[in-house]
Amino acid sequence: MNKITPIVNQILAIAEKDLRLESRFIIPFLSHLFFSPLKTAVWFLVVYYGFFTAGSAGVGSFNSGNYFLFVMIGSLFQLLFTIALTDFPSKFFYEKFWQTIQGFLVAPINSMKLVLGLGFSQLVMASFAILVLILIAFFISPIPFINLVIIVSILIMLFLGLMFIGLIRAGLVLVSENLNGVFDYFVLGWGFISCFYYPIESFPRFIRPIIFYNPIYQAVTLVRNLWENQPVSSLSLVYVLSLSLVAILLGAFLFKYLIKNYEIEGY
Amino acid sequence: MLEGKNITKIYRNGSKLFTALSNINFELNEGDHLAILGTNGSGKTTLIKIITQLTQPTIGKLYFQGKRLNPDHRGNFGVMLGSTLIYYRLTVLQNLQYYASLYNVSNPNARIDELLRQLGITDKKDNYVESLSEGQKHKVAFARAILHSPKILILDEPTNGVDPISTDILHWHIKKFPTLVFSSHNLYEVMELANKLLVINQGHMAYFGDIKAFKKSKDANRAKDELMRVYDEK
Repeated sequence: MNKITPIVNQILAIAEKDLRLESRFIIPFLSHLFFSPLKTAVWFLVVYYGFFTAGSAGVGSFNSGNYFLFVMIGSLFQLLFTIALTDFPSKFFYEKFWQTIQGFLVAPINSMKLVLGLGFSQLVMASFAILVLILIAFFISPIPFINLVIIVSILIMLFLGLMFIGLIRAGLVLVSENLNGVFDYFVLGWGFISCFYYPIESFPRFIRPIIFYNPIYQAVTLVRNLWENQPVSSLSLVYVLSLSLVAILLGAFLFKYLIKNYEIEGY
Repeated sequence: MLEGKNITKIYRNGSKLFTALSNINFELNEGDHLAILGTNGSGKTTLIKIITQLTQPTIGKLYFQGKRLNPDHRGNFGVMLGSTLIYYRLTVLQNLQYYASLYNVSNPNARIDELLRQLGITDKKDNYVESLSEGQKHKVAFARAILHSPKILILDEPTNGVDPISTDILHWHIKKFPTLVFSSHNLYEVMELANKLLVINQGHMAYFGDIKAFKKSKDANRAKDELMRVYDEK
């Protein structure tokens, strides 16, 4: 117990510091808290509402009966995806130019504490949007408690995996802004083939196999099926969880490798 | 306590190689105040970065208490790199509370109050760092570095840009610290704070040893002449 308390204190200190920095200027903080995470969902809902009230039949299993739930669950994933791969690495960009990043690097903390601390603060900031999305989804289609527990477990594991991919990007932010630029396009492409807001059937057939092996697509499909009480593939579950674990190990290793072998660029 | 053997750092810029440090050797025992003296660009900061593990030497090894220096040793060092490492957008208290938690300082609020009182900035406790003078920022950075009572204090140009009164206060506190390494291009600061000296000239070790011996040696005059020549040119 005595060994855990200092670790928890370090993680909470990182989270608290991040929240203090984020909330220093209240208007952008509130906008980040309430509006930004939900705006994309609203755009898609308006478009789909227009299509379906005009009599569109839908695509594949995506139809006028489930598009609202489909968008809510997609938004939840897109929110976690953006936090892990964009918001989290951007913190390192600020820390680099505030010249405080060395404070992390000379302190007795490792990448896991960093990820958990910053991940926690980001989740606190996103908690309002996450709660709204889950409540709306639950209101549209109530699910058994056990399904909700499985869904939350999948979300946590995937989020951790994504945060460690974000940590690789954070390493690139510090040592190679050029390569970070390349990562930007990777994130864009990855988000594009994750089907947060549209079904896989919207894509040409030759792209679908690539999307099918995308772990985020598998995770979002799993959660949609769980929420709609559809049969779920245990193979998909193992695939998502094991790739999340690989991402955690790979992210921790690559971040350490980048920091150890390359100089912080830009000073 | 801390030992550097054949420390060499080579930077690559495209196809060009630049040797920032070449074959530096030093040893720091408990109670030593080691000054790293050199002109701007001589490699002082690179050596400080290597000691604090912010960068790795290309060749050479560092030992702390007889063991290869590794990330597990970080908690033993207190690091001050000018007025950096503190968040200008947080208050003095928020900065120190944050770092106290990272370093697992016991009874942090009492320790913070004690340090702020000693450094004469208790009244700035709730001020944002961005609103402080350069001297006050340096004091906060110094408090941050010694918050966890480290075994070795490592300072990179601790009073650069600080007014004479604040410099005196910082010197008084630095002198009290049992074991320290600091870099400076200021001869007077070195003479006041150090008992051991490492002179670096264009990445090469020009002198390492006792400061009293240095004062008496011909190397001292050569080093002084070289420093004065560079200052005059600038």
